[in-house]
Amino acid sequence: MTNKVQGGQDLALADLLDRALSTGVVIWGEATISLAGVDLVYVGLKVLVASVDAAQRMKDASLVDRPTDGGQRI
Amino acid sequence: MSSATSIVYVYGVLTNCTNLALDMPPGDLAGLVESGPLRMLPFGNIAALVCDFVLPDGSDLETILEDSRSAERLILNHHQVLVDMVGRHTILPLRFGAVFTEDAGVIAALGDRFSVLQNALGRIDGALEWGVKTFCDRKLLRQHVAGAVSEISSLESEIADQGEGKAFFLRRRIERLILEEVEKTLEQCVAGTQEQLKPSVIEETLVKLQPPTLHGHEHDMISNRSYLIARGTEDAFMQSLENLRVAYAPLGLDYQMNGPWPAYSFSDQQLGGGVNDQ
Repeated sequence: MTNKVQGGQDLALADLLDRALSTGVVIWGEATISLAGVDLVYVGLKVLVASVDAAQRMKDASLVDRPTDGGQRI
Repeated sequence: MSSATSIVYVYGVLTNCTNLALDMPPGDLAGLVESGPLRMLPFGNIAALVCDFVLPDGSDLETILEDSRSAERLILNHHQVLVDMVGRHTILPLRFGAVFTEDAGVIAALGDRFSVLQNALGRIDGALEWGVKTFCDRKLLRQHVAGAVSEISSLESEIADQGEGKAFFLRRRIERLILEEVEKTLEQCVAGTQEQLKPSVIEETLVKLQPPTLHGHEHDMISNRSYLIARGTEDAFMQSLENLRVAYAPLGLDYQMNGPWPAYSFSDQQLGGGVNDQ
């Protein structure tokens, strides 16, 4: 099997949400709109993550170039 | 106040360098306007990758993000910037939504966590995250188990010689045995998968299982994991996965690989912090 390069992957939106919203470094700490904003961001995003419709829309919108060979099923 | 409409959005942290192209990938920014290209904000030998945005008049980020469509676009922008960078340079991805009012706040955040950020960058240096989902055709696995376990086979042959009442209880017993064997076999397959992949990965972690409406596969998802894999060694990993696919296909197992991802799943365990961290 050849090494697949970026852009040839089936990166579903749900996979992105699982990562970008619940993992990754958290560094903020200044008492600015980031504090109030982040609280609200996460409230909003919890709703978003729970929304199958939203995830499906993101899938349809194609996060990155969708593979033409039916995905990286190996 | 006019300054309230300008924000500094932080995508990730990387080793400071001056030779990176910092173009914003094309995409819809849900009404946000870039007031410049991507920038690096250095602190010591690390730097934050940021972009300045001007919010639409009379709006604030919280309100924009309450609209799921806008939130989706901005999450995609977050990811696309990281993906664009990760192909060229090791970058520690920040969780979506890191916003500051000015550069000084970002630099202070880097300074406050300088050593842990350095360590976290070292942890993922030269590596990428790949995901592997495992699915199981339970019908096929049931058939395999029913044929492979001698106790089940002998009970089935016994049914033909029994009356209706005894046959009923034998069938229930067979069903219970099959269910037990199916679960036991699945556990063995998942453990076997981990064992086979272990030599070609640096680290691994669990990702939450997805319901069928999200994963879109015709069979049940039984495992969802992320692996940290050194760049250039992906072929060995993929070959191991291919070997597993061949070995476990008769049992109804199927594997899907996705990535490469910025190392989201391997970037949060060494760092504390959060919205209450001041």
